[in-house]
Amino acid sequence: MTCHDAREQLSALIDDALGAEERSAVEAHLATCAECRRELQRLRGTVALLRAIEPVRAPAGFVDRVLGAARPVPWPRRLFRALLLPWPVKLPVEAAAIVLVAVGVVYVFRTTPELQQASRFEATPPVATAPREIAPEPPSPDVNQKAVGTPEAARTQDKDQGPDLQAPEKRAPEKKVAPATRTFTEPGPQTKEAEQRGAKLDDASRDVAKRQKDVRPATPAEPQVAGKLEESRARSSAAPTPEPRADALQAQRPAATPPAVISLVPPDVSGRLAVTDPDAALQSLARLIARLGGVEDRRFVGDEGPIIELTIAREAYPELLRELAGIGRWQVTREAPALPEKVRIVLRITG
Amino acid sequence: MTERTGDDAQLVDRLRRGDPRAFEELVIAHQHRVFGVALRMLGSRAEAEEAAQEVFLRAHRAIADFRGDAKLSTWLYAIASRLCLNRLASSERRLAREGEETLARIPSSHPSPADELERSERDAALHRAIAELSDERRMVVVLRDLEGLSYEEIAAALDLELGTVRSRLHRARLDLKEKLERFLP
Repeated sequence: MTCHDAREQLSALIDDALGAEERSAVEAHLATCAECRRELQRLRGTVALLRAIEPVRAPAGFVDRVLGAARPVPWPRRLFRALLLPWPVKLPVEAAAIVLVAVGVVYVFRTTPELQQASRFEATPPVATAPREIAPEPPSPDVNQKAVGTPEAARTQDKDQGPDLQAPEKRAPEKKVAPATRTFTEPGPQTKEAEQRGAKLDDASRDVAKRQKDVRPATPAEPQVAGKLEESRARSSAAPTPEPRADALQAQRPAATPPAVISLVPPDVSGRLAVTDPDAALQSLARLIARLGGVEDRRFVGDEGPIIELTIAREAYPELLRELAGIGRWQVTREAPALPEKVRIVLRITG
Repeated sequence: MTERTGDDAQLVDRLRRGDPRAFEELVIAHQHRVFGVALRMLGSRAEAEEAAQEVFLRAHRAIADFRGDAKLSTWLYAIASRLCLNRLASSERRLAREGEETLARIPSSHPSPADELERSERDAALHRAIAELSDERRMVVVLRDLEGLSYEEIAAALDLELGTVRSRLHRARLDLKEKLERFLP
């Protein structure tokens, strides 16, 4: 037996796993080979080291945990687990459920006009009542001057807003201090602020103007409020200074305000007025609005031509329609099912 | 190993009848062996416990497959070794493994600060050497020199020829001897 053959058997020799013949052959070789004896000794040493390693013990509570895991689970829970517990299943199912609910809500909302009406009209009535209270009061001239003199107010507010805001100054005194924040349902918040401004116009107007500017994007009712206040100004200023409205409107024209603010609250009526001469139409329109006691809230130039936003009393609306037919071809694109007392109209003039 | 085949047969009978107490006895009797193999093979106690638990659950489900001609312990070792080798072979696990991992860090079963401090250089070298063996060789050494199985039992558990067990074990010991040379007489 060669050294190589003998060494191959050394492990088995240590483990007493050799047949009698193999064993005697290996032992015969070892008796003559010191090198292989040395190898056997070192291999025995290695095995001894291994066998001296302390046995491992399972951690405390292991048996209980295994028994708990092996306990049979009632079939409904097994089914539940099988269906819902693995994340790859659970997640899509839950996500689908959420999407379904969302789609359902949108569908119900869209197919129920009452819901839509409710959400829209909730915001409008309070703002519509506020200006009526203050409308008959003429603005005080000195306050007017002060307000015009505050450049910040003029800049941060809309162009006409600065002067507008003094109008409520002499309004009924039961109005309380302006609140810091406004909600949709709160009646006439802007007028309250305006009242405060009347008392302390110089500094306060600046602050409030800033605050209003900040709040503006969050309150869709705002443009209407502004619009109504303009209305009040227009009415009151119309009395002492009977200058023709058409001229005033012409003067305002270059300073058209961006339409983005207006679109937040849909008007009660909107439509197109097709005319041959837009300028002439604008003038007759301005006269018509003034005659019917309406107010032109805003005017700006849209893609197709001038757009006028106006407010008019409901009683005057049929008259307006008749007169519009004389100015051009009036085509209604939208009309609310029930018109409020003050009808807001957006009128697009097309060539 | 320690239990006699007669006891095994009785326990297996009770297990097959669904006696819950029988399963508890099985776990109590074999927990340390199964956990020991899992720990030596996988290296982390948490992973070893998870694997050992899985071994018993598989045994619980598959008790009908158990043939009475082998010891229960050998059957459990077979399940344990297969499960460990499969885990070690998974690509995820391969990436996670690094040189110093596994057995080199296994604390003694009664760890104490003193034990930790006094662990000799030799012990550290021994554990590291075991950890550095290939999975197949380590499995054979663990079953033979740490768990005390016979060649035949190892062959049965790992489903190998006797000659393969013998040569694999010998190679493993030679690897270890080489690494532990300086501690040998």
